[in-house]
Amino acid sequence: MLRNDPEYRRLKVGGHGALGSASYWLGKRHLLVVVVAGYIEKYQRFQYRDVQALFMRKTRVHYIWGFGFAAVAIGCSLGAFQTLKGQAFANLDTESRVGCLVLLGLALVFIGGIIINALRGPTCVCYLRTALQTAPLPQVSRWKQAERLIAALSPIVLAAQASTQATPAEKPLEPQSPAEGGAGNPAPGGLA
Amino acid sequence: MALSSALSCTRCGTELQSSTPGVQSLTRCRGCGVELGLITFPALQNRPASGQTAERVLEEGESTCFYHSDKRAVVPCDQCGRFLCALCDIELEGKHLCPACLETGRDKRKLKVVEHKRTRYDQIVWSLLILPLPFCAISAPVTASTALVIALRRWGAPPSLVANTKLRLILGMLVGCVELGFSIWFWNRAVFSSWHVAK
Repeated sequence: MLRNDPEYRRLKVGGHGALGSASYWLGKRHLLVVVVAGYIEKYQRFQYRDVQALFMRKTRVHYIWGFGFAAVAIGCSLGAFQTLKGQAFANLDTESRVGCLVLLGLALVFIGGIIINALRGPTCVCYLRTALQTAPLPQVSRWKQAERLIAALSPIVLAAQASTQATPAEKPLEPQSPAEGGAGNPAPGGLA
Repeated sequence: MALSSALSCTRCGTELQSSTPGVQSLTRCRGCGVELGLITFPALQNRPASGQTAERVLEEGESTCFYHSDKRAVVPCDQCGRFLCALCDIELEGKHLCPACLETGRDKRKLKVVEHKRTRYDQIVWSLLILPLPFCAISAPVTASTALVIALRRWGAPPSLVANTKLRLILGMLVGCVELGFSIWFWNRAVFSSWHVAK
């Protein structure tokens, strides 16, 4: 298990969603993303030296959640007032009292949802770019979470890339003599 | 494939201005106006690395590659010790491997680094136990026994990296036994009561 592995450190990002869960682990040389979807556990490894950029794009999903919660909370509150029928709560019969309390309880739950949604901040989608792909990072759906991920990941990536840059990355190709012909440079006359 | 060093908006594809490497910046896409947080790293400026070419043996007595007898060996395989040329050397997490060891490691699941998925048998067992729970008296002979068979047969399967698979399998087997016991008691009682009524 990664939790008991000293080589890995868990990041406090990711979580559960409708289509599964994801957790993020910082290894010695790579970021490991473990995605559990149904009965399959998938692993994505991003080598620190290959990470080119991290993006986060704001989305409007948090507004939809907020409006949805608000609409239900208002509906429940109106329903609770409707059960009062202009009377005081103490004068209601038992059924109306229970109905009123249930509706008020639901309204409170959804008001709690609005507050939690507001505290969690705006929603976003997060991507990690390497030379070969721009991969979406699953379950990093809040801006604050994405910032936490960047704060944890960027110093490690910078350190890893600084150490790889210390060695010359690439030399310009020099003309090779036929005797030195490598695999990609067949010798004249078709002799390998 | 994103082999160019230009950054583009993930929504509309408009090219973005890249920031100083290592510095997080907030920017707005000129195409769609969406707000973007962006951090770039020095690897963005690097040209994609090209593959190495193997050098030919020039002097007699030089070590040669196990797979290419005319190529100079540069490193031994960390797994099997065979000499490898630059073309055959596969560097993986700081280890130098030959193609055969890489393939064997992947097939036998000895190399965790190249493993990209595992089946969660503990999840399957628990689904078989939990989903039919309201009808477990009737369904347990099939579902609970299937769960027990899976748990026993897949005991040695590679465990999950994030959950305690063995513990979940043990608990699953216990719950499966309880469900089976309950089912046996239920059927026993149903059969005996109908037998008494008939008598």
